[in-house]
Amino acid sequence: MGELKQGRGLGDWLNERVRLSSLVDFLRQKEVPRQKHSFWYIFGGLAFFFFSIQVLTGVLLVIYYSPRPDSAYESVRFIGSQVPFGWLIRSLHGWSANLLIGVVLIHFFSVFFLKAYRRPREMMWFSGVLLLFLMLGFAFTGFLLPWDTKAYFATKIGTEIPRTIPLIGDWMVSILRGGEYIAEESLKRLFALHVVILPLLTSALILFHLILNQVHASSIPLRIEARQPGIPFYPNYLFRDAISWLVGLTLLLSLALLWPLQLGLKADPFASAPVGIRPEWYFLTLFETLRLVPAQILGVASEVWVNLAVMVVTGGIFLVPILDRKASRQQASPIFTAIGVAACLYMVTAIALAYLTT
Amino acid sequence: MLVILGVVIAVMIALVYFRMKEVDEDAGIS
Repeated sequence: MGELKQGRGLGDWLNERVRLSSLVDFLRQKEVPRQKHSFWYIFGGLAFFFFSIQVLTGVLLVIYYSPRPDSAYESVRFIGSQVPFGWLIRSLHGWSANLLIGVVLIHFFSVFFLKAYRRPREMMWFSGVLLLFLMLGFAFTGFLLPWDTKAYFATKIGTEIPRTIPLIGDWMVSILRGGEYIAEESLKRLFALHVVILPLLTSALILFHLILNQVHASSIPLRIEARQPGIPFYPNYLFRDAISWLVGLTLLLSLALLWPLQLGLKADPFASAPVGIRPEWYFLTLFETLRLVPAQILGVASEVWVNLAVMVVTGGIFLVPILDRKASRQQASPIFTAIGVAACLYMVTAIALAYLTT
Repeated sequence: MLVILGVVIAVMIALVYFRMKEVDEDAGIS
C-alpha cells in the first residue's frame, strides 16, 4: 500500500486517490518512432477524434430523434428548425461521418503502402479492417434515419444488392430490412444497429486496436532507419495529435457552417425512385461497378458477379498480412504495392465517373 | 461567425505549435 502524503491542492488530492501521475509516467515512457514517414501515424489519432465527435453529436441527436416512420422525418425537421443549434449538431454529425470515413481510408492505405501489417502486427490489421467496415456500416445504417426521399430510396436500392447472392440472398435482404419492404421494422432495426450494436462493437475493437498499438508500438517501414531518440508520446506526440485535431475541427466546422445538411421531402414508399439518385461517395465505387458491368456475363446476372467480386475483394483485404508473405519476411513486395495503386486509381475513377454521369 | 471561429482556431494551432517546438527542443528531437 502506497504512502499517503498530505495533499497541497485539488490536483494532489485527486492524484492520491486515482494515481493519474502513473498514467502520465507511462505516457512519457511510450515513444512514437521518428522516421521520414512518421507523418502518416497522425491519421489513426485523427480517426479517433472524428469518431469521438460522432459519439458526442450522436448522443445529442438521439435525445430528439424518433425511430418511427410516422415521426422520424418530423423529429429530424424539429432538430433542424426548433432545437437550439440542432441544425449545427446534425450538420456536424453528417460531415464528421464523411471526414471519418475519408480519414479511415487514408489510414488504411498508408498502413497498406508502408506494409505496417507485417508480422507481428497482423491482428492490428484485422481489427483495423473490421473497423473500416464498421464505419461503412454506421454510414449505411444512419442514412435511412432522416426518412426523406433520398434516404428511403438509397436504402431500398442498397438493401436490394445482396438479393442475388445464391441461397442466402433473400434471407440477407429480409434480415437487413426486417421484412420484405423498407418499413417500420427496417427503421427500428437500422436504428438499433446504428446507436447500440455498432457503437458497442466499435468501442470494443478500438480498445483492442489501441492495446495492440501499446504492445507492438507503431510500425517502422522496411529499410527505413528510425532516428533516436523517438518522440515521447506525452507531451510531444500529443501536441502533434492536438494540431491535427484542430485542423480537422476547422475543416469540419467550415463544412458544417458553409454547407449545412439538407433534409429532402418526406419519403413516400408508394412513389417511384427519383431519377439520378446516387449513394454517398464512399459507396460510389460499388455503385459505378454495378452500372458499368453488362447486364449478364456468361448467362449469369451481373449482380451475382459483382457480389462475388465484393466477397473476394473483402476476403482479400482481410487476408493481406497472410497473403503478403514477403513483407512478413522483411522483404519488398512490389506486387502488393501495385495492387494498392490500381485499387486507388479504380476507386478515384469510379467515383469521378459516377459524379460526372449521374 | 466563421471568420471569428477561424481566427480563434488559428491562434490555438499557433500556440500548440510553438509549445510543441519548445518541448521537442527539451527532448532533443527538434
